[in-house]
Amino acid sequence: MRSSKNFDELRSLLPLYLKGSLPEKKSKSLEKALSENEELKEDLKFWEAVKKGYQKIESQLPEHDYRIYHRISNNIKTQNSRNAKIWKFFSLHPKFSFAIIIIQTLIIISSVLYFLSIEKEFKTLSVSNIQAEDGVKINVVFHEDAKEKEIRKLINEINGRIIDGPNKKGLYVVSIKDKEKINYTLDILRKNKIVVFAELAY
Amino acid sequence: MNNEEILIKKIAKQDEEAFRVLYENTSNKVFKYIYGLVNNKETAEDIMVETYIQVWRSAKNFKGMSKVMTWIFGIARNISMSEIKKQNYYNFDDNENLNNKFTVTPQQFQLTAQVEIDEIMQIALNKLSVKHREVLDLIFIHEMSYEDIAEILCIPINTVKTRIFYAKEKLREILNEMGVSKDAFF
Repeated sequence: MRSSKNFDELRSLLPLYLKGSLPEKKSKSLEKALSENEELKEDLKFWEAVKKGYQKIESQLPEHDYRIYHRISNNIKTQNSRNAKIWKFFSLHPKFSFAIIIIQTLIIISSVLYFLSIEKEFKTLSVSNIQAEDGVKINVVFHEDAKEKEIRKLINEINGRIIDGPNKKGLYVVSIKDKEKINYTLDILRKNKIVVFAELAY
Repeated sequence: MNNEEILIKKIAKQDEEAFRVLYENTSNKVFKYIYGLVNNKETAEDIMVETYIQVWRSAKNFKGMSKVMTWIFGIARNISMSEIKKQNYYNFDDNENLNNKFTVTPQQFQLTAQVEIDEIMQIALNKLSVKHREVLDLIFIHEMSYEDIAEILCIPINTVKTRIFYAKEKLREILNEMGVSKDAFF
């Protein structure tokens, strides 16, 4: 009794057997199986019918136009002559080739320089370049109608000092020496009507 | 190295005479293969032009890993499949639209009961989907081995065998729909 896998394998070889393209050893093995198995015989009959159908199809297949080769040949010649023209142009005008190389090089160099010059950093409201100041720093934004006199008075009240600003957004950096009074100072600033924003700077 | 491989080597060096000889030796088979896929003479001829231009261009890339004929069939198939998709001929896996081209109702079929088996089978084969039909075309028209078919279709050999099995089942189904009994062939 043949295994199912072996049977399927033999079954799959039937079309090749019919076309006579199966090696002798496999053909013999298949013929032996065919003599023993009705299902396989039925399959072979079916494939024989398929083969006949194909013989009919093949006899009716149209012939291709003999002028096709000229189309292919002309296309290839056109392509070859186009490529040849391009190479001829560059070989006859080496200055043009060098000019293209130089332009490309300049574009690459300027692109590299441009990308290197772009600053790659984040800026936040609390950024300040002042490093040498002792004490605690507070970011403060005053009301746009606040007068200089009022600002001075408030700064004196908290015993602080403006060490930076105003920047484009109206931000001042105020420094106070006494770290322990930070909450008290922030409270005074926030309660004052000329202050819009007051936060500890980090 | 066989004759076709020698020709390809020469074509890679832009030898037009070698190209002409290769064309003469292979064009009939290639045309039949393409025609089997697209089922239209003009389209098949256009695809054949593209196929041989590609052969000319790619000859230098031919590494001899497959037979020359298998390689050309592979190129022809790729171009044909793009064309089928572009023109929306019919779904590769579906034979619904193809059926409309070759419709034969059971009633019509009974009227011509005396038709021969080869004619019945021809109608049924024409109703198969491209996916199933092409694998049978490669065996029965082009006498390809399963290894060559696997290479052309870019699928494993076992898938080729499975596809043949399902093509046979589909054919039986189509014949049944046409009113042809299973015993008609025995």
